[in-house]
Amino acid sequence: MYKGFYRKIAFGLGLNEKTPSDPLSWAQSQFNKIPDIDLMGAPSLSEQIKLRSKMRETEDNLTVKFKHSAVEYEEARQKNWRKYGTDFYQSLELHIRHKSAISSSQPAFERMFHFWTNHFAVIDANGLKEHTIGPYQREVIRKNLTGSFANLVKQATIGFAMLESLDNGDSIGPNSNYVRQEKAGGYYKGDTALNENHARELLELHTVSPDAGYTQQDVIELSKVMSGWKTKYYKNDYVDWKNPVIFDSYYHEPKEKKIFGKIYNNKDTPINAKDQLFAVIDDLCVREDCRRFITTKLCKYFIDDNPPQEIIEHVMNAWKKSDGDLPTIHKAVIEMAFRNPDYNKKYLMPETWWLQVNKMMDLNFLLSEESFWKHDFESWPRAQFQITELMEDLGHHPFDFKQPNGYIDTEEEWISPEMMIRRLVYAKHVYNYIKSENTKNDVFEGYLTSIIDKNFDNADEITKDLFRDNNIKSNQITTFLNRPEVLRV
Amino acid sequence: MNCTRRSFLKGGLATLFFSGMPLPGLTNSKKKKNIIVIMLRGGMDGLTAVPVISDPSLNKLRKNIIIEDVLKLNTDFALHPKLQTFHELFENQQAAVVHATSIPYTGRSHFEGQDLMETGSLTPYASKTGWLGRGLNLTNNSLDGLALALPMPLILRGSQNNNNFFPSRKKVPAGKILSEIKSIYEAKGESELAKNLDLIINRPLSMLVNDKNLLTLSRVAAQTLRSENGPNVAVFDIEGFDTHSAQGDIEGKHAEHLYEVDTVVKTLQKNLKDAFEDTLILTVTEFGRTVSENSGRGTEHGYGSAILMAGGLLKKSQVYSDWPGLKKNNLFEGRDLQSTIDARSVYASAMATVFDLDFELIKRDVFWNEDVKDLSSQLFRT
Repeated sequence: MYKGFYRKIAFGLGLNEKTPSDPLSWAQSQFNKIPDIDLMGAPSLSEQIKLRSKMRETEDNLTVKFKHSAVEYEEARQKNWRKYGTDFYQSLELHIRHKSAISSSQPAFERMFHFWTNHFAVIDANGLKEHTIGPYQREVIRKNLTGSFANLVKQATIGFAMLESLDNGDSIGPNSNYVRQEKAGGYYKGDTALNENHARELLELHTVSPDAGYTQQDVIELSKVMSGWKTKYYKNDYVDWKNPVIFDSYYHEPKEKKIFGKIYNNKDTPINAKDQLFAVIDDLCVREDCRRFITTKLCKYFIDDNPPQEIIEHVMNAWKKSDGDLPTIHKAVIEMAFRNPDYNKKYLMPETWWLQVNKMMDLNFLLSEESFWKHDFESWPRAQFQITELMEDLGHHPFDFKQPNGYIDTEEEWISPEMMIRRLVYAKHVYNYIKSENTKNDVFEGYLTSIIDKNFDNADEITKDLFRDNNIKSNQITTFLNRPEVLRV
Repeated sequence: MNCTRRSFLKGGLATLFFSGMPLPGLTNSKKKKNIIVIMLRGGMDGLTAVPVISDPSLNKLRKNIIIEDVLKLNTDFALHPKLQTFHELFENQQAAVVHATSIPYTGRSHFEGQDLMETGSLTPYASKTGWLGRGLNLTNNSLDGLALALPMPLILRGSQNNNNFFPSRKKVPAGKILSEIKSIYEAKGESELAKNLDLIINRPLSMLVNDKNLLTLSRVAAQTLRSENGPNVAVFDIEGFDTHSAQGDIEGKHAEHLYEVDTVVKTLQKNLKDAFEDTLILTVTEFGRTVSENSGRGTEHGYGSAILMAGGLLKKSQVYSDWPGLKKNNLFEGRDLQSTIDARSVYASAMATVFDLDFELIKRDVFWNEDVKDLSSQLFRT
């Protein structure tokens, strides 16, 4: 019996959860359908985009109104943030994410969802982190995890948050109708250009990786393909909030484009301007370098910092045979994790560690929907904001990416004095969140023993160490949660 | 004067490239020397930090982001007004600039560029260790590194004795518990975890604060480096130089971040006290930015940038450059400031100076015998 499996591919077994009789089928069956999510009354993605736009528009007006006083401006700006719930909503979205991870009947799916939200990392810009990245992850990434990889890439690419963050709306074809018209009208200033940002990330981070050997010209050509994909301007009153992303051929670079030697939209086989991006993504996603890059990344995340080639090849084959069907790929990764229990030294990233601790120990850290909404939007959220502070302090806030390549999951990233201090201090803190019925003197030892028995292959050794000294309970928890077996799996 | 390439060569700086006698092996200087690297992420615009004032084409290409009230360095270059401390140091022979320089990377991707500025390699993601870490490693681990950051930066990896400081608001558990956990790590063969926990257990008093703003980080770094047994290397990480829009002129995003750099330098100088004399502060960035502004009053990813240097180990105040010019045909790919000095030569020379190592050894073991030049005797007090 390989008990580490539940933590390797999910968040461990909860205190009241039964051990599945067939762990592999239990895990693999979780990828066929998208689990429901407890939205806790959160606004939808389009509602949040609207809120963010209004917040920004009001902020712009404040710069004019308070141009004489920096202090008054700052006060007004902060009041504006409170009014629009900037800190409130990112905490709410974190709650939704964590509640799903801990309480889901498909925890392996949830863990896989975390992989993909990191893969399609969106960098914060003007309130994206607060208002849009959480809803983007659950409405765009999550909803496309049962189709093909190519479809997921398409939806992630034309998602509002991604387009906005990588400035694709600023990318204007040099021969687009927009430029032509400006030139014809005599008011062309020569200040428009293609923006290569998004095109480069689509190649480098989301699909084929630099190993594919694309050139700078390939990047430029892809940015031509992508020109015209825009987010609507936040100040437009007529914005249709339900569809904040548009393809506007007015800005699109016409004519043919050549990527990896293949010509798109040539005279003989024209492709509708809007569909060109999808045609390119389809071609990128069937490349072997794409399969290898994404598969290696999955195996690194779930199995080991240095996964062996046989494991990677196994998943690549599943990908190829199924034409990139995500559930098939996900099941293949899970099977490899199950069949290779000797790879049990993957150092967990802080958010995953924290969620496993919460689930295994049945903590009451998260707020209920009712207490979450006890908020007046005049003051800063306090209890609600704790989760955001925690994720920031652990160095692993899942909406606050430092780089578009997301968080790196190898252990060098996370083993350093400060990173270890974070786990030490929050492990100590955990004691305050154990339900009171479990901290009573006569049940505490049994409570811990049951958690350890369910989730750790060397349960006897851990419990023996833990109860050897007559330590106080919070110290026992600190020590337990920082054991190598808990930090790694 | 129109600032051309020729005028700078005439200024005597061509010698920069043709000297470089290797130092005679490991010297036995007793005095503790420090190197502090400030990483500027996002692509620092060298033309905003150190604008060329003798070339009118810069302002023509940047109508909306012109820097006024610059702090003059010489007839050709000036500093951004937010680099006040830096300017004072320059007047005091304790600051210098290397301009039109970059790591040899022209791919304009942040992730590749930042990987390379930290590894010192020519191939992205090919090295898992940083140039500073490998340099430290050559000192037989007699010297230590300190990162003022939560994640351990790649630039320091490769060395055995790295520490970091970026305090949590919450209190670290008592020493007794830490020792107990350490004994578990030792028993389980977890040497990395045990070693890092040991650093936590033995933290100096100066690190027992729980505030992580740049002022505190700079103060703690200086106090730690000042101590005779403290680390010799510190690394700061400042983000936000990727200004595709609203880059600003004397105010704005780029200016704010330059002010942060200036504040770090100021705090370091104040708290290093006498040790500032034996310290070298250097900036590192992944690339510069386009010479022309874009439609959003920002700039795009470019190539050549500038290195800001401060500290008593500098030879003198000077803007070192083999200035390539800003005319269209002088620009890299017709758009970016050209890089005429491999920034790695500056970093290799800095390590040779501070670590008292033979430059050739650094060239071979840190930079894979690639074409880095020894600029130690031109730039630094050796």
